[in-house]
Amino acid sequence: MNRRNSRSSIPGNFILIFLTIVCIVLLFINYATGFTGGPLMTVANYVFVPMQRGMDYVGNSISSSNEEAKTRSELLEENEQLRAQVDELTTRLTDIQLQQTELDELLTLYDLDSTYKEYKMTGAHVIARGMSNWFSTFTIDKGTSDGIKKDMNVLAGSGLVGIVTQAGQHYSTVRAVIDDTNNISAMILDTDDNCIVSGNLKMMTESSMIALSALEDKEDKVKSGDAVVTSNISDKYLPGLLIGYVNELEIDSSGLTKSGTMTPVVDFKHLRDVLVILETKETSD
Amino acid sequence: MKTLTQNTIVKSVVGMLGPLYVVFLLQTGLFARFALAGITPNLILIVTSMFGFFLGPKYGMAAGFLGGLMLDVYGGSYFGMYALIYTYMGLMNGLLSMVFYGDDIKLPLFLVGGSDFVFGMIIYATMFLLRGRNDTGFYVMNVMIPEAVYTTVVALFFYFPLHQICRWIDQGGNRSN
Repeated sequence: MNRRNSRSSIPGNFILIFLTIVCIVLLFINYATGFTGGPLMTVANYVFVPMQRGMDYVGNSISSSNEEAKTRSELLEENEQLRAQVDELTTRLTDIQLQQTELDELLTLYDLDSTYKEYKMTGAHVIARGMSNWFSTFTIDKGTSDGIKKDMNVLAGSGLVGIVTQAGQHYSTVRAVIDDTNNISAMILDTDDNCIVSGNLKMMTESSMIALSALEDKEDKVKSGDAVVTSNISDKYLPGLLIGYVNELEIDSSGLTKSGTMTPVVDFKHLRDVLVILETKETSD
Repeated sequence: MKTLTQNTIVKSVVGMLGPLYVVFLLQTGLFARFALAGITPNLILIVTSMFGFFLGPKYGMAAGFLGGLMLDVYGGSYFGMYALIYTYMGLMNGLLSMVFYGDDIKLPLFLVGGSDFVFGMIIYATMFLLRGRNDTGFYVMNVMIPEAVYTTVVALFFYFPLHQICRWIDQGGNRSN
């Protein structure tokens, strides 16, 4: 019990004070200059990323063999659901095609082609997540060498996943839309009403939803199921990216705005591949 | 009083970075993918806590600092925050191991669970409560307790390997305070 002599000549208190000061200095540097690791990120590139790719591959093969084990009835049921969905989508598609031709004609009339240009994108695998249960951040396997920069928008399928918060040479970190600290300036697609979409851990755990607030909807036009997209006044998100659909709305106590919940369009629990838009929103500072 | 020989330094560095590296990959790779009810166990904390428990506060702090730094490089919101919190978790475990001492497996497991709960509380208080998320009960029941329980269960499997590594580092030497 009492043979706990100090092995080294450095006292524990000194180490504690030293490490505390180092951490606090790092926090200050991070706050002041946005420093996120510098040389440590280079180490991470070569030490962690290759192994994480391997782990990702192992994980993928395990979960795909899990999926193969689905029962026949499950598959039949799923098939039926998908057929119904195909029918529904085909009807909507023809509808939209009609509108599209009309839109194209009008756009050529107004010379607006350039605003609707296609974004250049690159695909990436999600190689790490679960840094903590409090925040929804994850790591993808592409970085600055593939043209990714901080503040680029990340999509999966047709919906917005999040934003790149730091980019190393061969990896980048993405903060998801559902992260508790995330706020996006958004708008309702049909009515162009602006609102704010914020991630919320509590809502996400309870009902897989995120929060919608500060919606000005004086004419009560916005209804459940309306699409919510990133707004054109957002300073970091490109306009018109689908975030999700309105679920419920209530009038705030001020009586001027509405807030409520919305369902994100991306399935964050089974996220494997994402697309990064190789363009950042240009804002004048 | 002995001084740090080159051999013990090498041993400590290898013995600390090795498990942290493996555990980090497991936590962010496999465990995160197969999360139970959306909860991932905090494996870095297991290593920090066990190093503190078996080898004393200095090792606990060092392991916590390095583990926290790994998380910071990989997308912490505030660079240095995790390093700071984990350093203190290592210290706490090191100090507690001097108060409670025993070779029983129950005690370190209990400490891991307790540390994880305290860790959750710190994160909640600093990064959630301050932003007006004041439904403490919800976060305790849905994040902190599930994570603490899951982490404790997983710690059972990490106990023996980590114990062996700590004994290897400590070979011939004394526990350091």
